[in-house]
Amino acid sequence: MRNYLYGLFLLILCAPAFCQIKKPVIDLILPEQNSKLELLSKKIADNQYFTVNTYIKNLPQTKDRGEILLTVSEKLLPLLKNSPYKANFALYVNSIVYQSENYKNTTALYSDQSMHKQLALISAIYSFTPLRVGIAYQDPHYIYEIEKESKNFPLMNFVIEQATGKTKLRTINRIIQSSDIVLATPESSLYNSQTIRSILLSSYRHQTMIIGPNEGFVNAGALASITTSPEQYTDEIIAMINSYIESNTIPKPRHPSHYSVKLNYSVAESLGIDLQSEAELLQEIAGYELQ
Amino acid sequence: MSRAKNKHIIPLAIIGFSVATPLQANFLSNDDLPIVLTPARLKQSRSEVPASVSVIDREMIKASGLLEIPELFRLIPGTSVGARDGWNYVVSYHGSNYRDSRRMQVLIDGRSVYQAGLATVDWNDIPITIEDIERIEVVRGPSTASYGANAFLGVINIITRHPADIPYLEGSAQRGSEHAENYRISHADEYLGGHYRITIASRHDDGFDIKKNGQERLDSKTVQLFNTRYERQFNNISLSLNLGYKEGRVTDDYSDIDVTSPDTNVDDYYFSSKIEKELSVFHSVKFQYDFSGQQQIHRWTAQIPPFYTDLANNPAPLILVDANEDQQVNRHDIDFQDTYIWNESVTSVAGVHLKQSRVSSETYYGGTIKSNNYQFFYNIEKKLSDKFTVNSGGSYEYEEDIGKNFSPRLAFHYHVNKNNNFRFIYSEAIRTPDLLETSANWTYTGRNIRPANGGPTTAVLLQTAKGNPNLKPELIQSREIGYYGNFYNLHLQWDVKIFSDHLEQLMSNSISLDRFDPVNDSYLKQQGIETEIDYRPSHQWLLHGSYAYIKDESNTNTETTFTPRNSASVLVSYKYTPSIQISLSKYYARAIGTSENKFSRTDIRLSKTISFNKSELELSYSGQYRNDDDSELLRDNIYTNKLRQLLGVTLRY
Repeated sequence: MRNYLYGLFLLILCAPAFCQIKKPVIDLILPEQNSKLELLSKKIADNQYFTVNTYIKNLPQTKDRGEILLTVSEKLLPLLKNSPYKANFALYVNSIVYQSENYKNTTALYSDQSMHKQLALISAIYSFTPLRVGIAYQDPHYIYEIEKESKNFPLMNFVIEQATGKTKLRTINRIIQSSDIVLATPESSLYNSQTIRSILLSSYRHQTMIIGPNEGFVNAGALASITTSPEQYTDEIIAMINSYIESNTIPKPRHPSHYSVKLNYSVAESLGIDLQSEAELLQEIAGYELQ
Repeated sequence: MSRAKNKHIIPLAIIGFSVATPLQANFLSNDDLPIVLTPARLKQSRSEVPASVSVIDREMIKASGLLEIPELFRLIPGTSVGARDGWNYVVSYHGSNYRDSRRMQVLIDGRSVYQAGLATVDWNDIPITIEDIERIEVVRGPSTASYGANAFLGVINIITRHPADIPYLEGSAQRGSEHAENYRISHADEYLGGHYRITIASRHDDGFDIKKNGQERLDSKTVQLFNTRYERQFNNISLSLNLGYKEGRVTDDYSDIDVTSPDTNVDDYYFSSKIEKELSVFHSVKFQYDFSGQQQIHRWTAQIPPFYTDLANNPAPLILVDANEDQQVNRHDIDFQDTYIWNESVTSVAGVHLKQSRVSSETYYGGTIKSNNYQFFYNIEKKLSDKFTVNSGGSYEYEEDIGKNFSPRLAFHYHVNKNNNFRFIYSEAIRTPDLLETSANWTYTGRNIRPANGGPTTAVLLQTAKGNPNLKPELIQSREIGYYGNFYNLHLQWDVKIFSDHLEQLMSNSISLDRFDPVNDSYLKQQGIETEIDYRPSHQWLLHGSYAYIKDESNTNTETTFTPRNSASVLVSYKYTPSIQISLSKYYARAIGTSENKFSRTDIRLSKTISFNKSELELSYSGQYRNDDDSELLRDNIYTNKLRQLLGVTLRY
């Protein structure tokens, strides 16, 4: 009897160990080491669904590998080719760049917002009146995107032109002059710290608004943008990974579902545009998406 | 705190934060974007500008089909435009005296083109073409507080096209009535990290056809010009360089005593440099240096009785003399301006302007004279609340021989909402007498007397004219109530202005040798209403309309002949397809000119653009049809054919 009770005690003591479900291990690969990315890593790790091991630039040794791979930025997309992981997640990658390659067992949360949302923002700002919307692009995929969206926005007359080589700034300038508003694509080869000054000064000279691909553009002098915060990206990628863990199905690549509107009121005021509040525009865009 | 107030504070807070920590929402960005459109760089909104402002943009310029820059101002409400000769245009807001463009300040990229030597703006001598212009901002009302003396009735601010905005190569040719022949080539590219543009142009037309008595008019012009502009950005510094040269020849009608044609050759040249630096996002400074010069060669032979001169002993009944009205004018301007945003509700603009004018002429001045002018100006904008803004400005000016003057301006804006604004403005301005008015020593020296009959070969005309060194500045007191509606989502702008102006100490007498008598003995009162509407419902349509009603009273007819009681303009343009455009415009003014003329004209422009590869070819037709039988401004300004036409071809690459 004494032995039986001792055995029961051991069983009770060890039960939690046997009952505990093993958390999947995520290998998070960062493109570099800096404080912003460390913060991102901590936020992703701070969840109850999986364990996160963080590495810089390279995959871990085979013996140390977890079940799921999560890479951050386009720089690390090469790691997803022939990846040995069952499931791969790419966070903060440009949609056009990602879609230009075929990755197996992989999904992505894009860094850029959908063109549909940005055009919905333009519609909301201009109260759905006829507009010439200029788009300078480098990747021909945008022609397809614009054709698709032109049906959703019949009041918009698109002025589009491919901007390449040495004349890309001149092309963007031409589009600025012949449009009411210009939607900047998230192509860093066109819109970067070297070109932004010339582009924004030209837009201001011609009183043509620019809708930027991110908040940095708005701070620089663009009129508005749909933006997603680091917290929103983090929450959504955790939700995507968790969805995979629960269903064993890799979710489809997507643009961020959570976003906010950023406006530059100083530029608007100088150009005589009466903007609604960011919250009001957000509501209108959401309403537009439901239509 | 209300929403609008928050709106203003939030961007300032964001910018302040961004400067401290250039963190982007883009958390991976290693390519942090600079803040380009800082509050210090952003212009005051049109709804808060302490003046009535009209804008002629590139689309309007193109749609109008006009060839002459001064004619564009027919689109501006209350602005009188007339031609004294085929080459000699006069533009004046609210008209008044047609003899010279003396009371408007005209700037090209910030550089004044007011000719101190002759107290005028000579539109024919401006070394740019209409195609070089991006937009024109017209300040309708006294603006000495911002632009210095001579911004008396208003300011015309011409902004040329930025080199980055124009095609790599553009060539155009036009031919039409009055033997009009215009050729132009422009080229733009990048150089040393900046952008440059070069324009070379040649223009000619014969001017008016006949005088009232049927005699042929001689008022043709032939102009060759060159101008260039270079723009470069160095982080927070903008550099702008401008250079230009114009060579022109105009013909003139013979007077009773002229033996050879009294034609004039005029060379104009200018250099302008501007540096703008942003010391912080709330603080910017601008430094500008301008130099301009003009050399006028005007020589001819006249036949006069010797007793008109100091050669009374010459027995010949008539003698031939070689006379001249040669003149050399130089002008230097230095301008320093400081813009500072003190907080979310107070912005100040202040600066100093130094001007030196120098003119040499044997005939007009008997040598060389110069004049220095010093000006301090400021404007403070204070947002009292969401609804109210007040602008207080002034200009303290000192000119040698004239003395010191202060011109204040006070503007009060009531914003019903962001779209609807009312303004209440009181302003004073001065026009300082020019060198010709104060310092003229006008007489003609005739050389090569023939027959000399053994006597001297040089003579001096007995008739002379002297400037009046005791002249005071002309004064204007202006009161206006205005409305400005900007319905940006309808692409509609509407402006209304009700005004009452009182001008005094005017110098109204003609600037000519036989009647030269500059005195401050005239006054002029003007009251009226004017309105302007600009509606562009889609990219295909452009509608612009203006109307002005002005009632005036003066002690001299000279000050009222150039002010039509009613004037109006309409410009309608439609793009049938992106490549086909048709524009119609109508201009009306009555009564204007010495014979209380009517001016009524309908213009049409048709254009077709053909694109191929990276180039485009534009074919255009412009027609101007006079709907009345009156002469233009003066009785001898008559075109024999009511319809003037022009065909043009432009190639862009």
